[in-house]
Amino acid sequence: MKENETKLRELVIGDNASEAIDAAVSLCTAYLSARGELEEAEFFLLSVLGLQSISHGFIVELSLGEIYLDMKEYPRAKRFLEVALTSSQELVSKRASELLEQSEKANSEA
Amino acid sequence: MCENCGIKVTGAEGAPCPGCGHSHSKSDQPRASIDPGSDRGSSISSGSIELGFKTDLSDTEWSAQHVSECESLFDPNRPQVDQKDILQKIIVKTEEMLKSAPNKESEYRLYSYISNIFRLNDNYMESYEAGLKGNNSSSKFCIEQSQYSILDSLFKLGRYEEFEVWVERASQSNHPEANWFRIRYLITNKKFDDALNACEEYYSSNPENLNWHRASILAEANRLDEAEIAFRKLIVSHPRNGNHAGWVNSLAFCVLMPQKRFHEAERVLVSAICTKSEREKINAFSNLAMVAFNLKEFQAAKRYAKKATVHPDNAIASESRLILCNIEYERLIENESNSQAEWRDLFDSIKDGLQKTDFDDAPDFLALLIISAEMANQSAEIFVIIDEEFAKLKSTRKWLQNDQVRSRLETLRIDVLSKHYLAESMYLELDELFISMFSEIADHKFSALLEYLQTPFSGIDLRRVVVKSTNKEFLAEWAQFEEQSEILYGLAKNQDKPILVALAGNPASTDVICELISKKTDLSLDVALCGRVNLSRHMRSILAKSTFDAVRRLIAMRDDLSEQTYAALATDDAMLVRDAIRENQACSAEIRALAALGSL
Repeated sequence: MKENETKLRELVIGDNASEAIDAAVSLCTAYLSARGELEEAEFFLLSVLGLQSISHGFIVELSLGEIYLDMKEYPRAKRFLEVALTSSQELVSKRASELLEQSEKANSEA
Repeated sequence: MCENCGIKVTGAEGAPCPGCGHSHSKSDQPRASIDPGSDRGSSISSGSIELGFKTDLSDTEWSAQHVSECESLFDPNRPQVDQKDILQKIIVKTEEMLKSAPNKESEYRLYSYISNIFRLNDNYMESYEAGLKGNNSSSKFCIEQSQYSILDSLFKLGRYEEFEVWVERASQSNHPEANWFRIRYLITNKKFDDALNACEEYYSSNPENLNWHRASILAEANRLDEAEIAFRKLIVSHPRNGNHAGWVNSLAFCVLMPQKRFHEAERVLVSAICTKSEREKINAFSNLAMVAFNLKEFQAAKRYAKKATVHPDNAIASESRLILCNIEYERLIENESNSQAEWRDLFDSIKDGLQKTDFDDAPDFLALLIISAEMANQSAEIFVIIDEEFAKLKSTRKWLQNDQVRSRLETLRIDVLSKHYLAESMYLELDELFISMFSEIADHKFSALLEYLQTPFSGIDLRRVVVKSTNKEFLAEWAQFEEQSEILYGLAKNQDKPILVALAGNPASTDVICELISKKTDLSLDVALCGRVNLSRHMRSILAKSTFDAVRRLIAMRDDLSEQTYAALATDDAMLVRDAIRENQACSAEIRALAALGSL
């Protein structure tokens, strides 16, 4: 495990909520999802979801939605992405919209 | 699961249970000035014990030392109630120590201590008796601890009259938790408004505590809208706090999930996973597993349930094991090409789950086991398992306390056994089984019993017992074929229409019974009587005077009436009755002419 990854894991369980959220999202995007460790990624994201405030813009829901999409759990992905769609952060809501489209397409093909 | 009332998915560490208000913190009472609803430190730490034991009498250092030694055996990171092996060890050790107590006060103090240990170990009778002795101590701490044990034990043992006396006594001596016991008692007696009033009175100085108790009482009273408002007030902040997760779990489990609001439950539950309380985190996963299972998202349900099977509280772990078995069952049942080996694996998992089950989940495990046994071709093994598991379940205190679960278990057992006895023509065993158990399971429709009642082997004694069944569907089916007039009369006393319709159509029903039915003045009952194969002359004449035109018409169409009856019907007020007579070839030409005249 790379030093950076270890550091991120520590931050996730730290007391600073903002740092924990950023660390969890980075950890999942850069390492866990990339390695296909989707269950672990989900667990890390769930463990910071409750720490979010409005200013975080539902970034965790977006990341979870992406993971559920990869897991082919489309109804679940849809629920989380729909929350991310309401984000005040344009990047988050835009990405959520793209993923929702993908999710609906994949779901109809499944 | 709350160590006091046994209900599932309740508060966080230190937070009280919604069922009884008891705090299931890692340790125990008494907590001096701390209310059970408080989330402040509620442990009976070694320090507090020493304080309680050492403050007044130096000659009691002997008992204080023993208690400290015992307390040091516990893993401080786990609730004491979950450490059954340690509790057992302490009981043995303390009983041994009691034999060499240097003086009476030391003995009382150890009894006070062991009363609490017995209580945590679910030995309520022993806890109560030790509490009575411990209550003689001169230490305020030991008296309060003993009284807590006495109150809790009497409550669990259902000895409410004594409980009322003791709660009054505790209240008079200002026991810090007397009020909480009062509220708990009111909730148990379903006096919810009184409990809410008591709650306002006792907890008005602590709004969080008050809200928690209110929410719990309202949820128990099934006033879910109000409970939801109270819970939502509690969960607005501090997501990492163990209490927050406990409240979220309660909101989801007691309010949202029973209303099938699964998406909302999921939304609040995912916010609780960040809690620092490992216990509540796993609890949230267990609840999430149930939500996902209900949404038929089986992969997710499986992931979450797997996390929760390690919960130290067996109620939660057991429920998660049950979800895993249910998921596998759904998978197998949806795919017809599954092998018997896969069913066998599931059968083994369910068997394992049943062996480790929490009492409340036992009927669900047993029902699943029975179905999977057939699919896995393991039906023979089921009887051995039932015998073994029932012996275990009957030895638990919940067997006598939880009527609903016990009745479900007995129903399942009798259903399986009766089918087996019938198939093997074991009639004596069948009689014995139903006669001995029927009062307990009178509301169930047993298919084997219906089949047995159709045979000549089922005697009058059994029928006399079974006629007390409260299952209308069962009685209606039975009423179709029963032949013994005593029993038929017993069935006729039932006011339920499907049963009376069945009796009306039963050729064995006597005139007394038929007349009883006709007195109900009900069209469908009269029609059913008209359709009897052997409608007596007496009944024909009664029905010919029915208040329903359609019924008199049916009678008028018959070919077995007396001249007098035909004549009466020929001049009936209803044209459709006279028309029936006019077309009835069994009637004389004069009577038909009379009917035609009337019709004109």
